[in-house]
Amino acid sequence: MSVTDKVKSLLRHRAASPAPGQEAVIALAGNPNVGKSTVFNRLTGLKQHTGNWPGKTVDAAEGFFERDGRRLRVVDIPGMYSLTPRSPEEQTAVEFLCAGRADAVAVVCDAGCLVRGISFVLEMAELTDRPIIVCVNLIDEAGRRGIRVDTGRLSALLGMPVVASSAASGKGLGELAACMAKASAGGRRRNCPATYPLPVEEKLRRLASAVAACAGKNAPGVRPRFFALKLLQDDSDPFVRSIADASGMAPEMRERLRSLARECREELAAGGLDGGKLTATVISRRMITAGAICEQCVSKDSGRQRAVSDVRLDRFFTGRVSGRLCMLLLLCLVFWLTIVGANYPSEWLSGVFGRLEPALRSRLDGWGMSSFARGLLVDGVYRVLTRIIAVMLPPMAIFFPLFTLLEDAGYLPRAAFNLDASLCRCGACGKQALTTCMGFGCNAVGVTGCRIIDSPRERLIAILTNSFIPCNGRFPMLTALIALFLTGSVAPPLDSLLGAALLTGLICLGLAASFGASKLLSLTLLRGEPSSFALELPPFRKPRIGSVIVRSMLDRTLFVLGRAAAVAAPAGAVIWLTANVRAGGESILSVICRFLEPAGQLLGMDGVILTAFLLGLPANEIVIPLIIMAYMAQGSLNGLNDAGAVHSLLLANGWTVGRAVCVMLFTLMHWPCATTCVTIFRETRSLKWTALAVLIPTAAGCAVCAAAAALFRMAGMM
Amino acid sequence: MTDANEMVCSLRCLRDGECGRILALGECGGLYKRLLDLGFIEGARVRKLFSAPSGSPAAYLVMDAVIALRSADADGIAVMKNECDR
Repeated sequence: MSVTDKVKSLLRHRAASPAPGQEAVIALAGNPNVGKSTVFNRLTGLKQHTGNWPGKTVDAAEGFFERDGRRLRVVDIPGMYSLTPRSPEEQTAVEFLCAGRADAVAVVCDAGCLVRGISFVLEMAELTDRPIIVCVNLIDEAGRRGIRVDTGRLSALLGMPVVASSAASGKGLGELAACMAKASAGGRRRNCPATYPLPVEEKLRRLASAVAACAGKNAPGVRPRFFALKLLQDDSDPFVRSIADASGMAPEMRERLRSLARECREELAAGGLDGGKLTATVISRRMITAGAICEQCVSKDSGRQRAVSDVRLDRFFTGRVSGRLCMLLLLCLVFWLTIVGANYPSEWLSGVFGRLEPALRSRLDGWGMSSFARGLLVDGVYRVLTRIIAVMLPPMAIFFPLFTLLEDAGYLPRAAFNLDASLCRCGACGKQALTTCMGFGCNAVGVTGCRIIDSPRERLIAILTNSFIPCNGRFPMLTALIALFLTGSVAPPLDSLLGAALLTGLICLGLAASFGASKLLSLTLLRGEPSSFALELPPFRKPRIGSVIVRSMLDRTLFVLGRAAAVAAPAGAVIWLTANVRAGGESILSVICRFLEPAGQLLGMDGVILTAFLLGLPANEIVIPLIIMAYMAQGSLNGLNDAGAVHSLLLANGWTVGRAVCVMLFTLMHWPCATTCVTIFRETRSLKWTALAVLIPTAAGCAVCAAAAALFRMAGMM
Repeated sequence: MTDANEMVCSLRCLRDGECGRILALGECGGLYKRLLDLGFIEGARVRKLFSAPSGSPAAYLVMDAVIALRSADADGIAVMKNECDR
């Protein structure tokens, strides 16, 4: 199906409103990196939206499709290794499952490492008595490595429907959809085959009957035996609370169960099965059962085990020299493509918006709008909004697909692998390398991405230091200033090379600042040992270009653009008001500029630049246009596109090379944009940490700029 | 292959390409359960594939998946070295 077809079907579907109560809910679960999202996207097409359950801050995708006359709502819950939540993402998944909202569960497994997948299926079977469908995905990839899976046998052994699929090509998904439709109609399934050592089983029976008696009615969809198992392992497990909450268990009953669980634990410990050992026994038993099942239905062609070429590629991408060189070159390539490629659509978009403006103006005139209101709407809101869309959309529409491409191919985990040692020295987590890379696209996306980091301490470090990474919004500013002041006098073929080198230098400075701040945080406010780190390195895969573009546009680009637009529209009105409301014959803007002049001078800049950074809070893209607007004493943003004219305007207002460098440094390090601030608050749920995320880069920027300005003054360059 | 003591070491001591069978998981802090979930259970076969330039982290093949562990974490896993069977 082409993209336009998908969009059309999306529109069609929106027109026909869904009939509530007529649909079944299927949860899509599985380990991370098994192609779960691909299965989800293939099943639901583009008919999805982001669901937000009450009280939950983490989003999960939700979509629907129709099959055999049934409407199925599929909920893509975050990938997890087991039903013991260790990160906020996994916690959401578990809460969803405990609430019993799913009529059936589809577990996606990787045919290439089936034992782990089946072990998860077994745990899921212990949790719920609802139907389970097993989807053995990536079957083609496993086939290339000489792995064959006998799905009929697997289905017989598990007592569940099993479908082999290769979601990337769509193979097997029709059958999966049919199985889902059938399973959602209800029906029972055979009980789970995993059993534990006798003493554990005996305690489980005792606890489970107590659970059944206590709760009266159980948590919907959760077996008492599973609740008993979780209680036995660790009654402070968030899982236990989730289930107790979902079943509305009274506090005194929880206390009774807790004391019974403690009793059982003590008895087991006396028999040699204490805390850690018990957990190990439970997980090993499940894994061994899964291994025995797989032994009977997986055949391996021993000649073609885990591809040797994969290991060779890995050695190359993680090598001492080759690994680092690759990382740097890839980074440069992505930036170059983004910056060069974004120019043309940006110009085209601003042209279109410019041509639309007179029409809008005359339409508003036709409605008899006062000139003040019209100015506010057109010169304020419309200009700022369109400017942000024109400058922001194209680079993001290029950067995010490229980034997703690297993600899809499996390169990013290798980058995290390479950077882990340095990040470990900074007291941070290797996965921070991934969120750092995302920050190059947009800091807000980088902050959201920090959910992949398990340890709360390390997640906070990653969130607080992300805004040191120059995002797409700040790149155009950096490149423009480099071209105007630093490489302007260099001959053509060399200037772009020098420019690229200078930009890379600035980026490295940003990275160093981010790492330095991480180190500082881990030594002061967020003290603690670097926690453990287990990162899965998936096999290299050929990325699917089409789905990459669609997915990155939907998931990241439009998401960020929507949030930015929501902030930019009111900001546009404020900017216009400051420039046009006069107090004592002077616009508020120039009053602010004059007030900030001394501070600006101290930092090697001037009041106008500092004011522009302040007003540019909604989006850094408008800082340069704001500076130009203020210097020209105009009332609205203006498309002064001629580089020469801009250069002479800046020179006439006292700009020097030194000042340009200070502005670039301040661009790199100042408060995060409004979208990022809002995202940080959403992720941390704390005003204190949000304030700190603003303070840290601002303080660093002020210190660096003041020092640079002092140096330049000594050298007589300012 | 003669001295049994030489055969038992921590996962970290394996050289690139060497294999072993897991004997026990020590206190790996918060990672304990995660490691179990990933397949580092008693009796599981592991193979060290490659390591980062500084030696940490290193990538291990376990349960047909490649998992990177820091050397401090790999230290807590005892293995019995053996011949790779592939």
